[in-house]
Amino acid sequence: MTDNANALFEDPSLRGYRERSLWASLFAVALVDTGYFLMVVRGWLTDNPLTAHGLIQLCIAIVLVLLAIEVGFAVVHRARREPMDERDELIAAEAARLAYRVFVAGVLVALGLHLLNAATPAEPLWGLALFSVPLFEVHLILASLVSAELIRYGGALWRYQQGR
Amino acid sequence: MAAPCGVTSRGAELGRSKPTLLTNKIRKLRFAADEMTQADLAERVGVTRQTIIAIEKGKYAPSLEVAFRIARVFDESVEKVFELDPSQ
Repeated sequence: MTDNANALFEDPSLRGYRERSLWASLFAVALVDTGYFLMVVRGWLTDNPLTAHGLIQLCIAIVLVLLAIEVGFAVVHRARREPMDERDELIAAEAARLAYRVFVAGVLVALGLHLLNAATPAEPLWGLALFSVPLFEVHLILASLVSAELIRYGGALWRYQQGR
Repeated sequence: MAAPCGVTSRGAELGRSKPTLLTNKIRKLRFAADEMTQADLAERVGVTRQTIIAIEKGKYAPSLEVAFRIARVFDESVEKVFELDPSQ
């Protein structure tokens, strides 16, 4: 190996496969789910909210798009692919723990709102039209899941950036 | 000797940064071993190059198993490669 190649290989700023993969996942989730929530908000604003049927179709489409992005990334970067080691596992566990808290908080808020809504079925909660939107709690749980995923990827990336 | 840095110790509660007093001589040993690259060391130890970088910088405290593997690569004892900051 030449000196230049050695220097390049030793450059700590070069990101590993895991970090690149996390960036790809982060952008994929952010992009696809931004599209999803834009569709949801547009449905609310145009008084044509997503039905349960439409929601299921949309979720399947999102999963397929995310899978395609992940697989595409793995194929393109297959030469650089490397197995997880103990530090990767530790970082993933730390990020997952943080994300789990966000998801649980979102689910609890959604359940609480659902119960409060159920207690006063005649009118929307606190008089806000937002709470009378069909499938509001489902969207809230999905938003919690997306937020948790973004925090999981972002948290892991932050740890990698810190060098830990 | 590298100054001790704050790292997340494997034994510490996950997600909490806890200062470690672990220092190492990996960089010095690599250069003494025919300027072994971080990539070579990583491959021989069975971890990623990024993990070797983090260990060298004192930002990550490896497991006992990885510490022993690193020491074995240089044909040294673990105490010769890693040590607790003597000032503490």
